[in-house]
Amino acid sequence: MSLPRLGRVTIVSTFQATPQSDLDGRPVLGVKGEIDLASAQALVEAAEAFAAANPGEPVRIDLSDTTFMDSTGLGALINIRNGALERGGELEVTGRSRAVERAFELAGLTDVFGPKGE
Amino acid sequence: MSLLAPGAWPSSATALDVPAHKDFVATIRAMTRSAAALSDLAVDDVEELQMAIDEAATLLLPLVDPDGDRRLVAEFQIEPADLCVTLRARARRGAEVDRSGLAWIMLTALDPEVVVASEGDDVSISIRRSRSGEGS
Repeated sequence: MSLPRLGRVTIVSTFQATPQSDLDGRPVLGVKGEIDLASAQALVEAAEAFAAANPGEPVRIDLSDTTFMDSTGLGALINIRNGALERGGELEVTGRSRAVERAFELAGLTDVFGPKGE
Repeated sequence: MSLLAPGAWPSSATALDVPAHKDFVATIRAMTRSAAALSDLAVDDVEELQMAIDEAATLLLPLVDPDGDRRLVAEFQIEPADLCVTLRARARRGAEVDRSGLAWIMLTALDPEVVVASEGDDVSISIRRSRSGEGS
């Protein structure tokens, strides 16, 4: 399906969550595109599938290629973190884009997900 | 170089009328980026304005009257000093913007002077961003 575009600006929400491995071979969920009201639930479902496929591993999410995140995206991360804690695990945000960092700052949640670079 | 020369357009008032559905919020963000670029806002201001509009949509969508027209209207007004974006929806009777959640926290962090207004059954949220780069 071709997407309607305004010049080079995509006017539908883009989101992709893909299980992959980091440089150390550890499983990580790479998230590209925009996390907003339209895609937040898909992120939660992708994280649940990641946790089920990788028992005993932290839920690792790489947000380095996330171009936009709003409060519903933050809410999704909080839900994912709470779910991981309930299972005795944890959420690791292994990378974050500038847009993600700004969303953490605005919501006062930087410390919840660890300082930048951790 | 300013993209907005005096008198370049008959009027800068622009409106975008979309279904009041989460799938169309990205369309409003895109239009916001476009209007912000036309207003010569700095890159950081463009990003913050589109985030603020996104949060405004997140706050308005739950209020929409399911028996109403279920439209979300974004109005863009480029003025000499600033860009004003107003998001408006027909709300359920008595429905009010939730000022206790993350969306409100982020919206007011982005624009402490955000204006929430009710007129009849319509609820609107207006955000203003200075074109001089000195905040709203």
